[in-house]
Order: sequence, then C-alpha cells, then structure tokens
Amino acid sequence: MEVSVISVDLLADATDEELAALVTEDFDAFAELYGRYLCPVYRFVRSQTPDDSTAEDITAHVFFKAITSAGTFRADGTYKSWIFRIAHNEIHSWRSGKARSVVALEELPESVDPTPSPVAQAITQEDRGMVWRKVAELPPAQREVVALRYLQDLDVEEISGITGRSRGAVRILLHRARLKLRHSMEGDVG
Amino acid sequence: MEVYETRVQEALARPVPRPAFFDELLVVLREMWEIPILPEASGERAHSGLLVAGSVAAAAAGVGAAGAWYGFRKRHRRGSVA
Repeated sequence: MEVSVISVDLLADATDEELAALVTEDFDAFAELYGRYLCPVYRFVRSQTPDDSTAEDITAHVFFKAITSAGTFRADGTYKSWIFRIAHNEIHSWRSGKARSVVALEELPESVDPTPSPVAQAITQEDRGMVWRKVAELPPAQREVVALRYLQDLDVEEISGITGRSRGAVRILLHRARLKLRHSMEGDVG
Repeated sequence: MEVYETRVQEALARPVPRPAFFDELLVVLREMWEIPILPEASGERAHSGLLVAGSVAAAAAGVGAAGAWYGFRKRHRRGSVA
C-alpha cells in the first residue's frame, strides 16, 4: 500500500512545479495537479474539437501522457505550459489522424458550469451560443491562440512555447482573430 | 478587455468535464501509476535470476496497466454510454 509522502494540506499549498517534482513518488501529487488542470485542459480541448466525447478522449490522453512522461518535466518551465503543450500535441495528432481540413465546434457544449460568475449570468444562453459559433468559425490556428489567450490567460511568450510558433506569428494570429471576432460580433449587433 | 473579448472568454469557459468520466479516469491512472514499470527491472542487476523473474512480473503488470487503459478507452468510446 502506498503511503503519501506529504500531507494533503501541504499538497494543496504546493506550487505546480513542486507537485510535478513529486509525481513519480507520490500519486497524490499527481491527483492534486489533475484537480487543478482538469477543467482548464478539458475546456481548451473542447474549444478545439467538435463534440464532448472527442474532447474527453483527447483530454484523457493528455493526462495519460502527463503521468507516463512525468519524469520529463523540467522545472525551468511552468507545469501549465508543459501540460498545455501536451494538449496542443494531442489535438494536432488527432487532427492529423482524422485528416480533417476543417474542425468545427458543432454545438455549444451541453454541460453547464453550476456556479456561473456574475458576468456569465448576465450573458444569455443565445448570446453564448452565438459567440461559441463565431469562435468555431475561426481557422484552427487562430482558434487555438484565442483559447489559450482568453481561456487560460496565457501571454504571447507562453503561447509561443506551447504551440511552437514564433512570438510574432502568435501576435499576428491573435490580431487577425480579434479583428474577425470583433467585426462579426459587432455585425450581429448592428 | 473589450466587451467582445469578455464574451469570448465566457463562452469558452462554459463547458465542464463530466464527473463520471474523469473520476474513472483518475482511478485508472492511479492503477497505472501503482504498477511497476518494466525498465526499472532492466538495470545492471537484470542478470540475476531473481530480477529476471521480477521483470517477468513487471512485464505482466505492464500488460495489466495497458489493459486497464484500453479497457477504460473501450468503455468510453464515442457513442457509448458511460
């Protein structure tokens, strides 16, 4: 029977990188990281895939890789960037495998956040679906940087590290995506 | 942040993972983590009879881990009900 190396309270207070260093010897450290990153990774993957089951499958692969490759994490980068790079690679593999030229987010996911923020409450279901479709219409590369920027609050440097694109390329993709989204949403309103 | 950016942020943050799926995934990942990994038994001591036997056991356990993973994936294959 495995005995936890450090207490659950200490795990909760530990940084991602401290936990990552413990994963090979303490599963609870991985479980803590899993709890921290399940939602962010799933939401990112879901924003790049057409349905819930594909997103679940890819997300499962991301955490499978995260635990089987735990020893390859280097503390000179953040765990967040590391796990999102795995997610980026898994999505890319899935796209390549399926040879899909267009990956559409068909429908707004059915699952609902049980504790919506005040902003979320102010935005109607119809509006949310419209915005989801606007993002879905973006080319995959633009959609990916938009999700990393707005969903994960990552900066250009981090997005560059995750996607393997230059910082300039990330800025251009973000700029084009912002223009499209703003124009299409303002067009719908006006 | 502009209004349209807030709306994008909110729409993208809406989906939540299905607990039944991801709770089971964590259980499977724990099973895999607990099983000895074959390369650990293939060090310089691998010539000893005991470790050869140990590596066979580790190989069998590795097959078990793979089985747990693929069993999980099969149960949750697209279109199936979890």
